[in-house]
Amino acid sequence: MTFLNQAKDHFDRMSSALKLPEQKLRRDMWAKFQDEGFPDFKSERWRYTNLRSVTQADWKIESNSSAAKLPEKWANWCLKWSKHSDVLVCFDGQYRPDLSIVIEARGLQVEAAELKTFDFEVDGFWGLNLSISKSGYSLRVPASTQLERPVFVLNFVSQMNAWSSVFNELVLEPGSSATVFELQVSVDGTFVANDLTLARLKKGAKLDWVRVQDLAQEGFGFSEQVVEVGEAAELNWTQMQAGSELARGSLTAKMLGREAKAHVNGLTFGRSKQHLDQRILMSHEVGETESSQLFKGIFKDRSRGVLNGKIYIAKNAQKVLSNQLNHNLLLSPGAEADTKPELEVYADDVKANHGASVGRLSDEQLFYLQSRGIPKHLAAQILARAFVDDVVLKVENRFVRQALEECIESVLPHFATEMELDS
Amino acid sequence: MLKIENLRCEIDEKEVLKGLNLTINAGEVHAIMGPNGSGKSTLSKVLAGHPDYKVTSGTVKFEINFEDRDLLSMSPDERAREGVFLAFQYPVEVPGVSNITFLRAAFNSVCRHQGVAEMSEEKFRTFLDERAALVDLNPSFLERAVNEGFSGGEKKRNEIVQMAVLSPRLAILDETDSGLDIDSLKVVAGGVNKLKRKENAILMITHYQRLLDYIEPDFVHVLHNGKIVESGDKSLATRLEREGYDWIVQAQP
Repeated sequence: MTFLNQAKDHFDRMSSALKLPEQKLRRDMWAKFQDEGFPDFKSERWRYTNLRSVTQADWKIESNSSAAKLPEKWANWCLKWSKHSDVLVCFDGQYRPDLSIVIEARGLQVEAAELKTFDFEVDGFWGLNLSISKSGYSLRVPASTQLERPVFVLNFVSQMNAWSSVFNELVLEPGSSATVFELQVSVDGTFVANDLTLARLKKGAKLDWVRVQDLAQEGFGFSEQVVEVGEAAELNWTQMQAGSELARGSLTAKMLGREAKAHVNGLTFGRSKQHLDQRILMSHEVGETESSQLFKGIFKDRSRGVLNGKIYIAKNAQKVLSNQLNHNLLLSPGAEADTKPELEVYADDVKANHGASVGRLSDEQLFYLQSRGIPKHLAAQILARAFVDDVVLKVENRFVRQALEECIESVLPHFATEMELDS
Repeated sequence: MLKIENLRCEIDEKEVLKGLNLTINAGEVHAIMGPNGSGKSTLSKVLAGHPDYKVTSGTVKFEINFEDRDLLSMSPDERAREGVFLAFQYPVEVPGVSNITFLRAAFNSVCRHQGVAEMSEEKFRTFLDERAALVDLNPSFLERAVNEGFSGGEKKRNEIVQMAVLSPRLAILDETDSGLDIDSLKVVAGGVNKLKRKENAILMITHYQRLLDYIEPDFVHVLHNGKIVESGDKSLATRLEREGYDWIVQAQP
């Protein structure tokens, strides 16, 4: 059976068992996919990422893995961080309370996400994914609750040759705050992992959200976050992309009330033939709102990074501040980093700007470090780490920052190896 | 310890060193003086292994464990791990890397090379504070990014802290006195003097006799047009200070 036949089969079985309104919602999503099919390069949203290699392969729709256990490495990771945080585990997208370590008494409310409402425009690709999506996590922080401990989420993809889709939800009620660290990892092998997360930050809420995509190098990862930022609410979002042969992330922040803020930062580490694409849409729908973007990428071999950052400022959304910076370090002549800033501004009293640069490691700095006995490959790693430091320092919570640093340390040795540099 | 024979080298296809000879033994302090453009800084960069400088002929032998090794065939980091240290004339700023991270990476690289156990972070911290005190460097500088936003004098002190951490066998001080006021010069020179050992040697490169008042050389050499044209004891420096380089330059064929 082809992948699409399997998907149809899966969708039919799944949706017939559902009640309204979820049944209708999923049927609408499926209809969307039927109408539009997979987007191609003609679609502005998918211009830089060719989906053909993904849609033409034969994936299986993954079977239930509700009893499977985490590999020891990741079980230990959960245990380690549970000392400082609540740890949620999603296994092949499915929220797994039995593997999670959560103490709800502290105010956090966790359950499996339900796709009850969805009022965002989707394309054929996400139509398909949402129509067959599994229940990921649903996190809710009650009004005026400040979560003291961060929430760590481990997303583990266990099945090779499988297509998985998951829907997650994050709700911060008025005046609440939370810090979330999300790590996406997998078995070695190829698969398609899709996740869509909706976040709602109500009035005065603050969310610090750090996401790390470190899937297997042969994997395919598609990830979309849509965040509603209410009046005087604040989103601090940081992402690291390091895994997948082809990965595509998309973040939309809609600033819906005055004094809403969205600060988004990204780190991209590309090597071999990876194609890592990130789309950002900062949508200032009302005035007196603020956004910033700081993206840094390190690319080697024949990898390619794409950053398509769009700033949209609606008519009458005056006194908006928005800026975008993208700096890239290219370690090989065949590596490429493309930046496409877009400004779509309909108000006149706003400040919006952007800047981009591409460079290489400084020979003088390398020599200076070497002249103190540091082997060239380690010197290059130290300098690469320094290059991304300002993004790391933006992460406020020290445990989350430490977890992010560990992810960076594990990736960096691939970017300056002893064999390549010390010969 | 170091034996340079007939060293010729070029940068950007221009010959700068034109057959330089110099021998330095353990325990000795040498000073190289000379007019601008004579090749002083080139010599220091070549000894440290800077990739922009191309050696076209000659040899540099460095004694390691009582055996002469070809210094020129070693990478810059290997030379450093074997005990060659260059205090830069213009120390490089490395934003995003703290001094302590940098020094610990350097120190551990040397430890690994010598088969010695690495120091714990805590122990290293104490060790480092002692070294920083040698040149009156405020310990807060250890947390700051390497040389970033440091004044000229602070950068030079930082070089000597690095020297103190690595305890090199051959320290090359490239115009360590330049840009220092007299008080800083005394402090920096004092730091260097405290690091002097009979097993170690120092090669100072300077324009002025001033530094030699504080770090006393056993030998003074004059470098002119890529060669050492005059060698003597400290009195040579005094004469240069009084009479300039003209009498030496004019004596050259």
